[in-house]
Amino acid sequence: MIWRVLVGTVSVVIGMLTLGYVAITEQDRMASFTTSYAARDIEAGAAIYEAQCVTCHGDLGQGGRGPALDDVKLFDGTRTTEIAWTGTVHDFVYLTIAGGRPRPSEYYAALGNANRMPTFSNRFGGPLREDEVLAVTAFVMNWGEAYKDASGQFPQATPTPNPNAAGTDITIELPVGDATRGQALVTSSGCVACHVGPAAGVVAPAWQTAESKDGKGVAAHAEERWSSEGYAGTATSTDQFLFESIVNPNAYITPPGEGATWPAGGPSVMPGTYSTSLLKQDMADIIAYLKTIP
Amino acid sequence: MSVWKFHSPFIDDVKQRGLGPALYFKVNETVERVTAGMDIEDIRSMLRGDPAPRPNPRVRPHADGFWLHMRPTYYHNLVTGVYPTFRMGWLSTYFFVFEIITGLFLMIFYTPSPLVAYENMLNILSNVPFGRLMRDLHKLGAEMMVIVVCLHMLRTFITGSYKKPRQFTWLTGVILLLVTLVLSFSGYLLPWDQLALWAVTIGASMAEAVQPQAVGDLLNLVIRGGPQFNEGGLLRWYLLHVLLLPLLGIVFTGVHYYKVILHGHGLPPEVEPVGEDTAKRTPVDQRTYFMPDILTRELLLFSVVTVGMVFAATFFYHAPLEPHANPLVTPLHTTAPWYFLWIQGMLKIGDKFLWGVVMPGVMFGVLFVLPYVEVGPSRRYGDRRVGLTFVALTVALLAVLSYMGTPRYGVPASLNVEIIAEIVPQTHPGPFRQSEWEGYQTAAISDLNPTGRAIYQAAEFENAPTATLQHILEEMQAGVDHASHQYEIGASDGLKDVRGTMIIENWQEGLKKVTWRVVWDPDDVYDTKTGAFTSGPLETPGDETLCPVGQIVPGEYCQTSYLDVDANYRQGP
Repeated sequence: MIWRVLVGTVSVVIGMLTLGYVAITEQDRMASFTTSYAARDIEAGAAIYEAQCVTCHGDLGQGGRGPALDDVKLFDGTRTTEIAWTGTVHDFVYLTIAGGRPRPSEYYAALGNANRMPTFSNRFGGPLREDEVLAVTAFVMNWGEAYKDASGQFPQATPTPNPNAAGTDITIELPVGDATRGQALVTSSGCVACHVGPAAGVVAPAWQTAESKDGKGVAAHAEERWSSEGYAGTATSTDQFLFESIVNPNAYITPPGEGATWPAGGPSVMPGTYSTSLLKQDMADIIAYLKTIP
Repeated sequence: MSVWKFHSPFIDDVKQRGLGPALYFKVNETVERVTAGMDIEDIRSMLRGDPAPRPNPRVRPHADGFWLHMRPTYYHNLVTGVYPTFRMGWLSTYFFVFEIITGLFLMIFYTPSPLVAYENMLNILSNVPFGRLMRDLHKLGAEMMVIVVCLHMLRTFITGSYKKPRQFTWLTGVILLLVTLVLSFSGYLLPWDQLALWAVTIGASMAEAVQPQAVGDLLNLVIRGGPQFNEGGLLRWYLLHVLLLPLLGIVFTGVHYYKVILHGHGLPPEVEPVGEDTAKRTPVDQRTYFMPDILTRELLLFSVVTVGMVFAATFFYHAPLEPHANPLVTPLHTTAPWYFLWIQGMLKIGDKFLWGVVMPGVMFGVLFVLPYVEVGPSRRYGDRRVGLTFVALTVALLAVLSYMGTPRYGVPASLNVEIIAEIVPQTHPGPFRQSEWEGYQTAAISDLNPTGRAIYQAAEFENAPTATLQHILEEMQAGVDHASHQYEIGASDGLKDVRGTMIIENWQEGLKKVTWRVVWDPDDVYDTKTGAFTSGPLETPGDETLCPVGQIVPGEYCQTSYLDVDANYRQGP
């Protein structure tokens, strides 16, 4: 009996010590596994790249029928800025691999690469599973490692977000606006799709006096709203109110009138990405244009 | 006078006897309730080894408590040693409960969908504290359970314990054996890695071979959950693993154990008169009481085995995890789980249906009916020579068949592929990935050699610049030598003038590309009609071009591998 109790006690102590050892080393082990699986992703991506990508992008990513991928401009933000991509480089690479290029990109056509790229994610009919697309992305992104300096940064990096982007601070002083350019911008940025025409007053508040239920245009509405009862935003002028409505649509939801479909309590159905995709000058121009509509 | 009366016997007791005695009384009473009949003094006296008082309070928990009412109050002295039970039945139950507990932990972090199942595994390994330990314990416990249950059955056969009156106990035991095997096998599929997919594919392909074809097709559809293994199949195997089989296991463990208690633990065959069962007639002087002897032995066994499992899973055993399941790529040397290798071995003998379905069916059928057919009255070893010889031969046969199930037997693979597969296997990390990354030395980078390509001949492994390279090249040369040897002895898989080469390049920052190349005399092929090698005009390719892209060179086989500096395969899966 003494032996049973003794051996049992010793084994329980050994068990507790072992568990304690696991508990102490667990954080390091988990970190090590995370690094390790990221590395194995690169290996898996390299094998897929060798099988499916080399004929167009070159075995060392030097390019060919398709653009070069072992290129600092892809990783330091230069290329994504040129095509006005507002997400991360990783997402850009991932999206391109997954969805391909249904039509030749104008950017590469100018460089002599007017070719299409097939879709690779099996979600879009391509051959690769989600984890394989991510593995190839990891492999392509790994080329960028060679261009980083000692502090892990790209020397010529284009900062993200762009310092010239409009941002969400509505109190900044904007450059002088050009209403004519602003008019072109509201079309190219997609604003008119909801604020002008058949959708105006239904999907989003109408800008034009003719389409507005109370006969007032966007400038008049802006002017009265920021100073009205129940206004919850931070704008202290008409310009700021328009700025705020574009970069932070949820700050104030215009009460939906009869026939309108947007929810009165929010959230806003307007895209929330204009603070990064519009530059300060763009913002000034659009505000200038909006104020010309009475 | 108060409007309500506050009943507190404890406070009354404190007032009457003082705090100390009242508190001891209360604690003692609680202990007695929890143990269903034994107070503190009874427990201490029991653990001291005092003789049991009369009336014996140590039998009260058996009479009044739930957990102990299913355990006997005493055992026959002759069944409490290691022989004749070897504790195998107890250990089977132990591992069953062990698997349920570790399995519940893993269930919390698992979703049975091919989209995320593998990601869940990575999450368990890299983001869940104690996740790897639990996974390793669950897998190790599953392997142990299969071993223990099989040994339990073997022991029962050898001691003749399946004979009257224990026939039905044996039958439920065979059901539990099947439950254990299928439980372990169904768990294979859940990580959704290559091992999972292909091990289960081997199993499902046997179901497909069932005749008539219409039944085989239907079975195949039921097992795979569709024409191909996918979300439907994974979900039903998951439900089988976590719901149906554990439920069957619990029910039949109950029936099995009830029968064990009903008939008593069978005594060693040599102490009983032939044809009699005296297990339930234990003389007073032959009794070992559950409390304290059996209880403390079981607690000891419990703690030693549990700690042994935790220790092994922490330092020695890690459950494998292969790359993500891919229905399009069959890994070389994929096998069934080890306890089904004998079926895979039989599949190599001949017809899938006959050897993969009918024969295993017959074997399990024999197990089921055994106690009702083999009704010889004697349990003594000397009277059962035929039966014992038969079981020894069966075990030997299963061992041989299991060997035949491994890739070492009868897999027609070309040695050029095998040479490389030894170093970079497709089913586990292997020597190349587990060696030092820095050891794979490249040449200096220049305009002519932008990737720092370095070429090493396996035959010159002794001259390689690093110990790692020497080791890997030596392994490769061993495969090359084997292929040459096979040629020299005239074996059909031999290769003439065979050479191995390893080409290392810097592919990316922290990523090396290794090209494995095996060349041989291509038209020196084995003629099955004459049983000899025939020569032709071609020769072994030279080193002028190494593995040209998009071109098939006769007598050259190339394969590439990539190795990242951070991959760290030595830490396990």
